[in-house]
Order: sequence, then C-alpha cells, then structure tokens
Amino acid sequence: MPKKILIVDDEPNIIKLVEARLKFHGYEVITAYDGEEGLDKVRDEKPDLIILDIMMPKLDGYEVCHKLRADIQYNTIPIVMLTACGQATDIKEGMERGADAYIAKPFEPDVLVGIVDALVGK
Amino acid sequence: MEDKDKTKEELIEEIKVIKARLANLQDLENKYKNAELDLKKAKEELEIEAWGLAKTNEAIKYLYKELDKKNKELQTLDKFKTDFINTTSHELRTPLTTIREAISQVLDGIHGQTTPEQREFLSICLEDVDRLKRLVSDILDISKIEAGRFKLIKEQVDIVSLAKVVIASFYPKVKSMGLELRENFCSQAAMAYVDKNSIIRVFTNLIGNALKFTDKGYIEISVVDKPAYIECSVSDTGRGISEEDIPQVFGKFQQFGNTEMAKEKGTGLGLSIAKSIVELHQGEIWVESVLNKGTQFTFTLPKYIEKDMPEGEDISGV
Repeated sequence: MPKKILIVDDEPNIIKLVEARLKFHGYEVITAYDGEEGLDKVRDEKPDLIILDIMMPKLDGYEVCHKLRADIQYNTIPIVMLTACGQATDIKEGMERGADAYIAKPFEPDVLVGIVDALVGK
Repeated sequence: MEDKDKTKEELIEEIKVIKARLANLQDLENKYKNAELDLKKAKEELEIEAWGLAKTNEAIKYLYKELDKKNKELQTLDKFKTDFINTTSHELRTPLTTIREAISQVLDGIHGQTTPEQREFLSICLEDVDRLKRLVSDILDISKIEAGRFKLIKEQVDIVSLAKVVIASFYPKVKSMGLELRENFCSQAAMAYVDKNSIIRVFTNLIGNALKFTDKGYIEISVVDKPAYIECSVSDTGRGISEEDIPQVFGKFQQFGNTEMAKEKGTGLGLSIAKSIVELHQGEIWVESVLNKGTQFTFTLPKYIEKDMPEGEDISGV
C-alpha cells in the first residue's frame, strides 16, 4: 500500500512539480492550497507525511504545525517544512513548533524526495 | 658738627641723588604704564583668538554631526545593498529551479514518452538553465566581493590536503576527457592561514578553466611551501593564451579564443572571482602562457604562523 503524502502550499507550480515527482517515486499524493484546507485534508485523508509551506494565506505553516502537534490523533505524523529562505530563525521556529525536517526554497525536488523517503520509508 | 652745617656742596650732591632717584621712579612709572598697555593689548588679542577658537569648535561640532548623519546613511545603504543582493539572488534562483525541475521531469519520462529529438532540445534547455544558475551564483559572489561583503573565515588549512580534495572531485571528468591529472606537492603538508571554502573555489575555478581549453596531455597542480608564502599553480598543455589577451585574462565576462569549442560554457567570471579571493588574502596571482603549448596560473597564499604564546604560559613541556 503506497504511503500517502499531503502537500500544503499556495503556489500551484510547486504543488504540480512536487506531486509529479512524488507520484513517479511511488507515493500517493493529496494537495491543499492553504492552511485551513490543509487541516481539513489531514482529518479526511490521514496522510503518512505532510509537506508544509510556511507562507500561506488563512493559516500559515507554523500555526498548522502547532495545531497538528496539539492534537493526539495527528501529532505523530512527520512534517517537513518549506522555509522561504534558509534563515536560522525560520528553521529554529519550525523545529520549535514541531517540524521533523525542513528544506529551504528554492529546493531540488530530488532532495525533498530523499527526505520523504527517509521519514516514511517506501 | 650739625646738619645745618652741611656744606652747600653736600646739599647740592644730595639734591642730585634725589633728582636721579625721581627720574628713575618716573622711568619705572613709564615702564609700568607701557607694560600695562601691552598687557591690555595682549588680553584683547587673546580674547579675539578665544572667540575665533570657539567659532572653530562650533564648526567642528557641526561637522561631527554631519559626519555622524552621513555614517548612518552609509550604513543604511550598505544594508540595503546586502539585502538587495540576497533578495535578487533568491528571486532569480526560484524560477530557475522551477524551470529546471519541469524540464527534468519531462526528460525523465514522468509526463509520457518523449522522442529522441524532443529530448535533445530539452537537454539544450537544461544546459542553459544550469549555466544561468552558475551565472547567478557567480554574480552574487562578485557583488559580495565588490561590496566588501565577502566574508572570509580564516583558519589554519593544509593546502596540500585541500588541493587533493579538489583534484579528486575532478578526477572522473578528467579521465572521461582522456587527460591526465598530475600532482606536484613539495611536502606532506603546507600550512596556510586562509578561508577554506574560498580557496577550494580558487582551485576549482582554475582547474575547471584548464579543462575547458585542454584537449590532450595533462593538467598539473602544484603546491610549494616557500619561506615567505605558499605558492600554488595550475598548469595545462592546452591551447594557451595569446600575448595580447593576457592582460585581460582576469577581467569579468572574458572568454578567449574559440569558445564554441569549449566543452562547457563558462560564466566568464571564474578567473575574476579567483583573483579577487587571492587578493583578499593579500596574495598574488598571475598567468604565463605559450600559444598551443600550454598555460600556467600561479598564486600565493599567506602562511600560517604560530601566534605568540600568551604571557606566563609554560611551553617547555616540563
């Protein structure tokens, strides 16, 4: 049974490209374009891993991460955060909110796939 | 004999003395009056000077304020420059990454089968996207160097080891081109006081440059531990540089000779960056070349000197 990955990002191009790579790599992919939709999809689809952008309308990545970690049902799902620039403050903030890994934009999708593989195995 | 019996001569004498003393006193009085006048004059002159100094002081205070203001403006401008350089670099890299990934995916067959011809043209796109990425990276570095914001973290570095690492990274490519990589290290180690990553960059740029213009023969890297500095060189048996081109070798965006023949198009900034890095380390870099025979780039690096021991520390090992 393929692992289910949820990508939450407000940039359609990023979603398209990452989704294509992950599917090619054997994962099932679901998508959301803002934080609120992201949380809804987590509840409905129960993904095995969440890729979370930080800068998003409605609810930003930090808040989504915070809410997920506060909820017993979902706080064990690994989260990979996408930071706008690899600023040390962003990374620290992400880690403090409970992210398992981070990758700075722009990133090579291959690298992201590698991190996903490491966190959920195939 | 009584006083009133003083002779007329004696009285005349006494009168003379008294007159002389009077004249003396008057003389002194005049001198005193003159001195008083001089003092008054001097006092007036000093007052004028003091007033002049007070004015100068005010002017200096004003200049200080202006200097402080200008300084703050410069600091703001400086920060703006850095932010601009970093933001621009990020803004340029982001779409390049997207473009590269989209093309890669089509080439990898993720979006259906592609014909060899389609793959050929997509590969052309990919090559130039990669070239743009290198260019953005180099321009960012040059901007940093020119804005004086290229930070060096200097430490004790063994240049021989460093050179070996760079050589190892080029080994597959050199082999695939049918060329030989030679090492010429004078000693086991050569300790320099440098920023490791930027010196790796210098070697990488020089070796990469040699590879572009060498079809046959070898590329030799040497490191010599000289008394006053460490001398490194990268030489090749490539097509060489003409005498008239030599002065421009380290210029920006300079590419010489037939660049269509070069295997991978450079950015034209590699040598300029190498030169800047060497000079930031107070070193020198120069080139010697003979057309159709070969080229040699040589540069010097500062040696690592053991700092003076702190006072009181016993280093005798007793």
